[in-house]
Amino acid sequence: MAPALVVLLVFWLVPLVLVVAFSLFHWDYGTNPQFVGTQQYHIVFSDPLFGQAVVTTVLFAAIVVAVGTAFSLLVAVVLYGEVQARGLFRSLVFLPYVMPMVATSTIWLWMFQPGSGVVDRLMHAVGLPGQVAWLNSSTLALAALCVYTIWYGFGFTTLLFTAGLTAIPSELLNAGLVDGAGAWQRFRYLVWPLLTPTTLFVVVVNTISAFQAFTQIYALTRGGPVNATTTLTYYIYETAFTYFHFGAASASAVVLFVFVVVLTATQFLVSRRYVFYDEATT
Amino acid sequence: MRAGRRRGASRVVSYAVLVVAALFAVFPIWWIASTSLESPSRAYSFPAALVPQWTGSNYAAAWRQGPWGRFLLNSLGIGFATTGFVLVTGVAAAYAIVFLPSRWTRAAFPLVLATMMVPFYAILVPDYLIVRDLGWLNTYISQVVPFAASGFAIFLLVQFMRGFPRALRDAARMDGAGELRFLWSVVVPNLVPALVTVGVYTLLQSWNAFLWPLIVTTSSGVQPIQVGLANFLSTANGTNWTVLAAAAAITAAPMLLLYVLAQRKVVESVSRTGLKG
Repeated sequence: MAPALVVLLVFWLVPLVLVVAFSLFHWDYGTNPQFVGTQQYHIVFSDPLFGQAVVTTVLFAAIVVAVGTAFSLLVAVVLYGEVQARGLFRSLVFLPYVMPMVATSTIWLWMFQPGSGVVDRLMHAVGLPGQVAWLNSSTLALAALCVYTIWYGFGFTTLLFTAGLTAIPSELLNAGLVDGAGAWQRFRYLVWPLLTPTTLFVVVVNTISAFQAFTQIYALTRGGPVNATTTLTYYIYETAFTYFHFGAASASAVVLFVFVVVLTATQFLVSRRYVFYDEATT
Repeated sequence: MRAGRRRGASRVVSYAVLVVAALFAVFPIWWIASTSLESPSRAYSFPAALVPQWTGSNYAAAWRQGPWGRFLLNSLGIGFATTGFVLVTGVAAAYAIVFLPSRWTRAAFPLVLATMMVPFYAILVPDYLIVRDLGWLNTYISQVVPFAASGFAIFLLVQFMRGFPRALRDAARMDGAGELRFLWSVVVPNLVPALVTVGVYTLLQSWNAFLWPLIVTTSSGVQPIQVGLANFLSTANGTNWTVLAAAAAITAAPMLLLYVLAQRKVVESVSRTGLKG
């Protein structure tokens, strides 16, 4: 017990207390911290880049979660049906998730090159404009990051959905079949309601990890062009380790922590109240 | 008859969805391999570049331009050390919580669970300062010790151990086995699936670690391979895609190998750890 507790205390719990304390000081690395109290939060909130980073984070998370969840639900439902080579498909879609992110970001960087990259080549081949500056335009760079992040994570969420689906009793689906329900009706009235706990779980897990995306942003865009892809996590990193404003970075980190706690708490509360729970799925 | 045709149509749609999903997932990984095996000029001629040429020169060039052997050793060492520590501290802590309950373990367990909710990025600044004050900047220790115990690993192992029949413990006691003996000869052998799950997951996480080593290390002597690749990417090699792809392939190869050899275990491990929330 003791060694584990020491590590968790020193590197996880004490820092959590410290980050709240630091957030109340005006502190640039190498200078003496000055107590400013909650005024720090006024300063951080009035930094336009902070506001922009929050908006970017929410937008990024919303797109990645909505598209990623829908896509992986579709793949999971299809995998759950009568198909051959289920195991093969499952391990193929899961592959991106086990590859190191810097390596796969490198290859997507090459794929997104204007003109010579494979994305532009494919677009050109089907008659779309062929010279798109994916990573140099502010809207497209965020879109490119979303594509990468969905690519990286959808195999994982497919797996979570598959686990949720296998927990649905097959007698129920068979009963639906006997009653003459079509594929869509069975999905809409049987699978979808029974799957709500899994869906909710996937949405929360995905949102939390989208809020913490860093590696792909560093490798693909460095938060640019002109801060267009600077999310909250990237903002914290830059504030702390490029500009060395430790106090301001700590205040932003507290905001990130609050976001994550609220998300987790929401999942907990909503799941208690509105979600269909079956003993097999809890 | 009509039902049959409809069924056939829905089957076609099903396979179409799966093939699109699989191509989307696999194509970029295929593209790493084929780009890294192309001659630089041919890498730009599009449909032709889809078929790899088995040119080894990019790997030779990449290997010459960076200390990849060192990076690989660093990452393997950090990965296995972290995994070993997580398993040992996890088993010990879970054992204390399940089999030796006391006031202390009852107070500690909620704290352990609380760490699962802390996003690491939120505590980056204090952790950096703690590591600096310990004099650990630019060392292996700074990349292992903060992750040497995991709230999630303890949680998972506690769940497993709670499933143990009490009678087993009592029988071991009757036979005069001490705590360590019971732990080593009864608990651990029955815990292998859980240990593999935790181990695979920790190894993957450690291999992918990026932001933390980026901050706490500066010399290639102790840097892990992912940071090495990111630096390689941001220096002059920025547009030499065939060499970059070769370097990316080198950093991904060990995980690809692990996945090919133990694909089932990896999928199981990560899906089980998906229960983390």
